Amino acid sequence: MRAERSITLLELQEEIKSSIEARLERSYWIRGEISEIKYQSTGHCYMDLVDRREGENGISARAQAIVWSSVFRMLRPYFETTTGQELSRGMQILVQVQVQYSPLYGLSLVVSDIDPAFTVGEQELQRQQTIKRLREEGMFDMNSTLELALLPRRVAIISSVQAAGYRDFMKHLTNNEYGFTFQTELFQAAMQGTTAPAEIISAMDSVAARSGEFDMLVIARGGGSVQDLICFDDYELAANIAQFPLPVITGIGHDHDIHVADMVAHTMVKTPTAAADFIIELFAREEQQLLYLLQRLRMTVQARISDENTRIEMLKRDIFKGVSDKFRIAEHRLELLQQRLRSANPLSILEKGYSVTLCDGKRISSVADIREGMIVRVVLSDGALDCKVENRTEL
Amino acid sequence: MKKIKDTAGEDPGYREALQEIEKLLAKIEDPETSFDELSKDVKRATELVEYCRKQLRNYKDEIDKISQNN
Repeated sequence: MRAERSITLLELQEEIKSSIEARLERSYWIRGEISEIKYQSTGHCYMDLVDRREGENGISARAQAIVWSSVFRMLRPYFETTTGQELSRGMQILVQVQVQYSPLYGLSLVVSDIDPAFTVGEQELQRQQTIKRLREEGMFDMNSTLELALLPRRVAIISSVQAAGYRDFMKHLTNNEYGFTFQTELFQAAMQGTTAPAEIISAMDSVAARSGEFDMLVIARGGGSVQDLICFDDYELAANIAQFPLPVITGIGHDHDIHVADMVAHTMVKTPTAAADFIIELFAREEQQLLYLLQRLRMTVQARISDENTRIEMLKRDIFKGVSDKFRIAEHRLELLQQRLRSANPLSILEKGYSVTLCDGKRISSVADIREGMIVRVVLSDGALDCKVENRTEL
Repeated sequence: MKKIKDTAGEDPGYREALQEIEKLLAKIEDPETSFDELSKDVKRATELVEYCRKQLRNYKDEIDKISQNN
């Protein structure tokens, strides 16, 4: 009875198929997140699209989407050049789909177009949200307030050993023109792909555990595509950089966008080479300062010596001037003494024909002392005459 | 001649010689001084003046030498 009224599974599925396709014949633009994606060797692309209800954490809707190889060949390059990335898990996309129902495989959405501008916008939005969150949590400027060591010579580097960026950094740092030497240690991490944030964070933890041994951390990575570098917009990574105990220098090669990791770092530079330059520049500036001080010191000492020399010269001049004055005075005094001696010496008068009269050995200067009949001695220059006074005349 | 000390700086020998010259002069100029002593005093005073001249020249030469070397 029941079997007579029953239909086959196929008949039911055909019924579903025709109702769905009759009801949903046109195509729709839908927004969703890629939760799984598979690229098949045949060129087809299979995705699981999911959606969440506002304010809910769990998935509220899920559907399989297919991009046939003929369509995917056209869409893929356009999408990748516009967004700089390939379609990947976690990405928000806007796709044009047609609902299909297969009795064998069930419901699927056949993708006929993808709008890359939406994805770019979504990512920018995400980025802005990350920045906003970091600001709200007070982490945004945290690392930049750390004081950089005056001469940071102990440098921890997070990079990938094979990366050109790391080699550039090391080459530049070690072959600097000034001959400065640095102590470096590499902490390895994948610098691209979905595992990159976690690996970089783990490397950062290793550095942080030995933070006393380093002056700064350099996160270096050479150039890469937008997709390669998307990990540097990761919230967790940015939060770790912001709260890192040492100043973080990012040298992540990129041309256009600044990543969130750069924004929260102590210092961001464009490339690993520039990061090396930044460090060398700190030393060069300090050396310059030292040279300047040395020059100032030298000049000060020279000026001082020159001042002292002038002073000594003047003192010397004063000494000799004082001495020569003294000599002049002494000579003059001797001259006077000699003159006095010459004029006071009565013997010199005798030579000129004058004579001195003595009485009892005493010089006589007046006739009043003499009486007639007295014997006086008349001294001439070459001898003496003893004379008897016969007559005395007063003038 | 009385021994005259030859030391640098404020030379007591030179100074002493000067004092002696002054003293001799005063004596020579004094009319009371006997003629017997006169020639001896004059001789002594003249010698002392010469001595002082010589000393002064020596000092001067010495100082000139020092100033040239500096």
